[in-house]
Amino acid sequence: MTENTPSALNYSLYSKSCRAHPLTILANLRHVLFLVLIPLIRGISSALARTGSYSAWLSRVWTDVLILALMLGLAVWLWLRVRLIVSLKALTLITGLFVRRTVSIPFDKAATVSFLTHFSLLPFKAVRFNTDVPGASGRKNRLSLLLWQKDADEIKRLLFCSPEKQEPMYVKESQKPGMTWCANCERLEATPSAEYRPTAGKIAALSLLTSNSFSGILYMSVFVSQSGKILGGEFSRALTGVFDRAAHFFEIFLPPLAAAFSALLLAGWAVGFMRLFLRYSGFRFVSRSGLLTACGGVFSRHERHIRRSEVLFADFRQSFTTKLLRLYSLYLCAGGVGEKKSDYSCVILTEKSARFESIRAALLPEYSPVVRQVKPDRRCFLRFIYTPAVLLASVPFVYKLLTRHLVGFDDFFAFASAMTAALALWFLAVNVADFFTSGAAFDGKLYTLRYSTGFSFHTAVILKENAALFEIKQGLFQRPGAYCDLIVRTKAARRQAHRCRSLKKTEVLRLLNIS
Amino acid sequence: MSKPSPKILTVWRIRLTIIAIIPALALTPRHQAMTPARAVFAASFTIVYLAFFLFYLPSLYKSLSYQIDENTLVFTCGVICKKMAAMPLCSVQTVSVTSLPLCRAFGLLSLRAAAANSRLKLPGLHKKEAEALAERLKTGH
Repeated sequence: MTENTPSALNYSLYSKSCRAHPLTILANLRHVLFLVLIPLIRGISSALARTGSYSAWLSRVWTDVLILALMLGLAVWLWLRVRLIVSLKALTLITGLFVRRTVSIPFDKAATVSFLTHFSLLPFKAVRFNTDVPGASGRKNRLSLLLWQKDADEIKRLLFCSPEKQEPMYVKESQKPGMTWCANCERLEATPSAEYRPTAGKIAALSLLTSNSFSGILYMSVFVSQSGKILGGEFSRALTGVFDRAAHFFEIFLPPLAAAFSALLLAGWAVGFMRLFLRYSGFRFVSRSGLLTACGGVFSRHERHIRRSEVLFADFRQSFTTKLLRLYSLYLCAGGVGEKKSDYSCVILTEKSARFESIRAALLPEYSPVVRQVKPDRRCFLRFIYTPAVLLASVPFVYKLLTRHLVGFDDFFAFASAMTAALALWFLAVNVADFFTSGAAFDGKLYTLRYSTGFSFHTAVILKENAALFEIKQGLFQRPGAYCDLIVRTKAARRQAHRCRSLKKTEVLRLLNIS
Repeated sequence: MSKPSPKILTVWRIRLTIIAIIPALALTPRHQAMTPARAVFAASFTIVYLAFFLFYLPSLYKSLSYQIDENTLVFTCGVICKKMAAMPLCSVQTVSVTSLPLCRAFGLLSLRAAAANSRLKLPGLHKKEAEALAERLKTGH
């Protein structure tokens, strides 16, 4: 602690104990949901033995009412027993009814602190507060709590601002950040060293180029089916009618079944686009000494604060399209960031090469990729194109097989085969480009790995201390030429592996300094 | 590079035999005639068992080796696909030494080193060897 550490008399200024938001009661009901079985079974049996009068009905269901009241009572009691304590040293969450559990995360171990306001929580002024540690997966290594907005604001003030002449609590002690006066908090806070605010066009470009049709289709199907249950069959039929009309529109150009499929894909992509666009609208990424902050969102507001030293790796990501257009995006991975699709893991959106480099140098100067030192040998070209070439070559055979055995779908199979061939060709192009760009490098501090997964190109920049395991794998056909695949694993919770293919084994061993 | 004890090969062979006994007994006809299909299946089963017993397991043992220097623990293994794993000592988070009853009968232990979401397992170590290695991994040098 610094020389201005508050004394015991002032300790109360630097700790905050707060109760969870009452909406937690609804979440707590899931712990006692098994009790619903009792009134359910009784309800079924009483429905089978019907009698006419209200008092007769009540005399039958009073036990069910009692059990439901018990469930609600237990959920309320559980809510009353939850407390979050924010002090100078740690974040502590105390939960549990009969089995009390205290989870404490020291400040210097917390990787990410986030405040998430989903649009459904806005009317209730509730905020989801999460704290993650590095390598956290599942509930055990994470603090997660629903708080009142005012409590969340107070915690933010405690964490990131400080009374006069104090260092902010959520910054490493060894760093001495510059301080500026924060008018909102009426306290000093660490000075932002760089800030990035993308324009709406950049956000649209990111959404356009990275939207996922499949996730959009899933989202739509859940929305349509659930809305039908909630709002009735008419609404559901109206929605599906929209898809029918869209399919009829495409029928002019395509076979009917293919038209329906295309309409669905396009609708799914549009939903994915809107979701991503709304998620990144108003996006802001701030770099302070010791702390990185990413926030944004329209209906659901996200605010994540990442300890700079806990960033596991930076991923410079491109698709084939953005590679041709020379656009780059930067993604970060830390504890609690980059683990789910809904995360704000993209911190620099699609930017042109020169501008991207200047923004990256200002925000994250320590993650500077190094030129390739180990590259795939030209004799390994076949390894890169083998899979997509086989896929492409098999398309006409599969088409012949299907049209021979399933009569009446020739048009659809022709369309599907053309689409599959186009996809395989795209995959082939990605792998050819990967052959010319992939490789590994190490400059004493950073590992730089260039590789591709699926249809994306990655340049992963990993600090030496964050590399957990190096694997050098040789397949049967790689052993004669002494080639290998280099796989690097970091401390990320998702078991993410960075794989560079077909490198010379001796060069890799020299790079990793292994005799 | 150091190698695990050759006794681990014996342990693997015993394990293989135990695993193979149950399906072998299930396939053996008691009161029925040996049909051609059963004969082919039994012959294939025997060939696979012998291939593992005589070729695969010895090759696996031959490929196993480990090395520890001031910065890294390196482990190699693999018969068809060769694998070399290098774990920086500074990233090792937990070290555990375990032994199953069969390994204990031969005085062998397995050492597991885990970093965040990565694991290395070194089988077939003698007790002193395993303890010395574990101590080195715990201290980080």
